[in-house]
Amino acid sequence: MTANDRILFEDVSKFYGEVLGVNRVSLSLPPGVTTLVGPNGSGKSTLMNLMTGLVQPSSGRISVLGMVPGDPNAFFREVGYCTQFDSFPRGLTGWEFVFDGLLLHGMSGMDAHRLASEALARLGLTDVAYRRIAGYSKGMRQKIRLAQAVAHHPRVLVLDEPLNGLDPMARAESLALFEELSRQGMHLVISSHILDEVDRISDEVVLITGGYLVAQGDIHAVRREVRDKPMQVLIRCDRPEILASRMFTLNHCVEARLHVDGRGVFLRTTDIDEFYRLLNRIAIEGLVNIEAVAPADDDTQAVYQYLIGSEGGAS
Amino acid sequence: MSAIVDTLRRQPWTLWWIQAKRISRIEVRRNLLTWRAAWIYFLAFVPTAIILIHFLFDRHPQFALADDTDILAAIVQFYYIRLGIFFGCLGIFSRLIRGEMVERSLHLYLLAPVQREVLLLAKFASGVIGAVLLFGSAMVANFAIMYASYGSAGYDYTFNGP
Repeated sequence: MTANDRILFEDVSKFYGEVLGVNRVSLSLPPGVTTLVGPNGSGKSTLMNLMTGLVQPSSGRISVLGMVPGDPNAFFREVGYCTQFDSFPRGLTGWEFVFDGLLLHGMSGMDAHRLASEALARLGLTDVAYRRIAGYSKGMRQKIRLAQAVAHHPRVLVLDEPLNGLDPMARAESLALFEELSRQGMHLVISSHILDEVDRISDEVVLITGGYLVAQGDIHAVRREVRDKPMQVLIRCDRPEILASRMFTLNHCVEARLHVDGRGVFLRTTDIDEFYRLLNRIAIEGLVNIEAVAPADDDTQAVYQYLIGSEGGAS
Repeated sequence: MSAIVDTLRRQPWTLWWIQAKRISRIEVRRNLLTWRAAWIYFLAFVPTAIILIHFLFDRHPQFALADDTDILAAIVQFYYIRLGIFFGCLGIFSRLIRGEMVERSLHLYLLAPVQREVLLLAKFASGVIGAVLLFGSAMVANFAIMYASYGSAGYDYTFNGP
C-alpha cells in the first residue's frame, strides 16, 4: 500500500498559542473505518481539522491519499468532512444546503440535483428536504451535515461525533451506512464516544489523550500490547471452580472470578498464548465441559480504561 | 516571463469562473432575498416611498420641476451618499465574511473545493452586485417617480437636461 492510499501524519504538532493541540503525532491510516477515541480536549477534533486543512500544523506534514489540504480544488473533491459545528447559514432549507454545496464543485445543475436527491434519500431526509434547517431536530441537523459530506462521493470521509443526537434507530442506520462505505474501500475517520458502537465498525482505533497519541491499530492488537494489564477471558462451562483451580496451577493466571449465574468464570492471565494451550488440554481431558470462550476486556471500552483511565470521560 | 504566462494558462479559469458565479448567486440569494435584509431595503427605498407619497397626494404644478430636481439632488447627496449607501454597504459587506464567522458557517465554504481567492473575490462581487442592485434600483425608482408627474417635460428633462 502506497502513500497515495493512506492518510499520513508525519510528526505533526499543533499549538494554539501556548496551548497544546496535538504533539508530534505520526499516523498512517489505511482504508476502512478508523475511530479516534479520547477524552474531551484530547485533540481529536484538532486532528480532524488538521487533516482537512481547517487549521494549519505548527510543524510536521500531512497528506491525504497523496494530496495536501492546501490545494482545495483537488482535495475536497476526494474528502468530505462532517464537522461537529451545529451551525448553518440562516434561512437555508436542507435541499439548498446540500445542493449549493454540490454546485460549488463545478458540476452541472442536473448532476448536482441527482447527487443531492441521492444523498438526501440515503439519509432518509427526502420528506423534509424543503423545510428550513432551523426547524430541524438535532438528529436531523446531524443527518443533513452527513448528507452534505457524502453527497459528492468522496474517497475520504471525516466525521466528527457523527452519532451525537441520533436516536438508536438513526444510529444503527448511520453505522450501517459507515460499514457500507467502508466496504466500498473508502477511508472513514470517525470520532465517537459511543465506544461499544465504535467496536462494532472500527477496523482501526486511534487512542489520544492530552494531545499525545497513546496507541493505534486493530483494537485486539492494541489490547495485546498492554502487557501490564492481564487479559481477562470469560469461559462458560459446567464446572467453573474446577477449571479455575486447574488454571491456577500456572503462575501467569492471576485472578479468577465466578460468573454470577455460576455457569462461567472470568480468568485473568499475563500469558494469553499459554493460557489457551492449557485450556485446550483441559477441554481434551474432558474434565470440564466448555461451552464458550470469549475475551472479556479486549474491546475499546477496556483498552480506553487501561490506557487513558480516569483522565476524563471518553468523547 | 513565458513561464508565468504558461502557469497562468494552466490554471482552471473556467472552473473558477463557474464557482465564482455560483458563490455570487448563492450569496445574493442568501443575503438579499431574506427578511433579515429588510433594514437595508428600508435604507434604500425610504426616500422612494416619500417621493411616491408626494407623487400620489401632493403633485406640484409644472413650474416646480427645477425645485424637485434640487430636492432629488439633496436626497442623493445628503441621504444616499452620506448615509444610505454607507450603512447599507456596511450591512451587506460585513455580513459576507464577518457575519458568517459569527454564525460559524464560514467553514462550509472552506470545506468546498474552492480556492480561497475565488471565494473572497466572489463574496466581494456578490456584495457589489447586491449594493448596485439595491441602491441602483432605488435611484432609478426615485428618478422615475419624481419626474413621472411632469409627463413629456419630465422625460425630456431627465434625458436631455435643463
